[in-house]
Amino acid sequence: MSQQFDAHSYHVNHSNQSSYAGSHNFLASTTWQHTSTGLEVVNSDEEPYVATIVGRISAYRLKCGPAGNHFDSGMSPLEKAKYQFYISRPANAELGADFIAGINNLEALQNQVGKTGVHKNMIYEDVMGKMLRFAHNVFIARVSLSIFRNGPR
Amino acid sequence: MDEETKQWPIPDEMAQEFDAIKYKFEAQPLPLYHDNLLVQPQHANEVLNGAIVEVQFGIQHWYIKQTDTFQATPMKVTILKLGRIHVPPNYKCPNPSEDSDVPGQPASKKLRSSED
Repeated sequence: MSQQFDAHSYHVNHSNQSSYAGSHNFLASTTWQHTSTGLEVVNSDEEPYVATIVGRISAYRLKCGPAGNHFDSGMSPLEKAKYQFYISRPANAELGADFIAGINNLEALQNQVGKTGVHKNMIYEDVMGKMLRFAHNVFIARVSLSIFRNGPR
Repeated sequence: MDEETKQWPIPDEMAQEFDAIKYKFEAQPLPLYHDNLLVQPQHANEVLNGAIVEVQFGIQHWYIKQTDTFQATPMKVTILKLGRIHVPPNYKCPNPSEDSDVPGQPASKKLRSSED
């Protein structure tokens, strides 16, 4: 049986870690870098940055089943399906404050590279406040071994 | 084909579409953990709904069609506290005490016994 979650201990143990999105030093530990298709946040070792945040999963557009957000007879093919979920502010006061601080930091990150002033698909706002959207491909292309067969002879 | 894709619990209505792509694409489960166990994809929505979670994620940006698009990509999702899980029943009786003898009302689901 799992232990009961202690929100206060979690907050105390994580709120000063730089990778915690709600921490004071989160932004200072991040840098945007180019990828082959766009930009990504990296750490001081030029590795993709792994941020951490805590939130409450919203029922809104929760699509994490075996076909993700794909729906039958939709316009998008199955191979483009994504797992999708949103997290909102937890009711716990400490974790709630961490969540708001995290959203503020993520908005600051967006402002560093956003040119249009309209930043889509990550931070949303509704009557409940701001939410963070996550997306992850359900399917990935298989790597063909044939690319290794035609090397120099 | 890899075992994950071979055993992937795709809904029946998408089976034909899945068969068409499964040799070019492989399925990857959402890295969703509860008590250090990977949650199977067919149970993910149910387990996630209303839960308090820790998400470890990366952040990407694309500038597409004069729009700034961002994505938070989860690398690991850990259930810290389950929400109130509502399992939709496949059968609902309006009054359990009367369910078996009321004409026009279906009987409650019986467990199969060894005598059956």
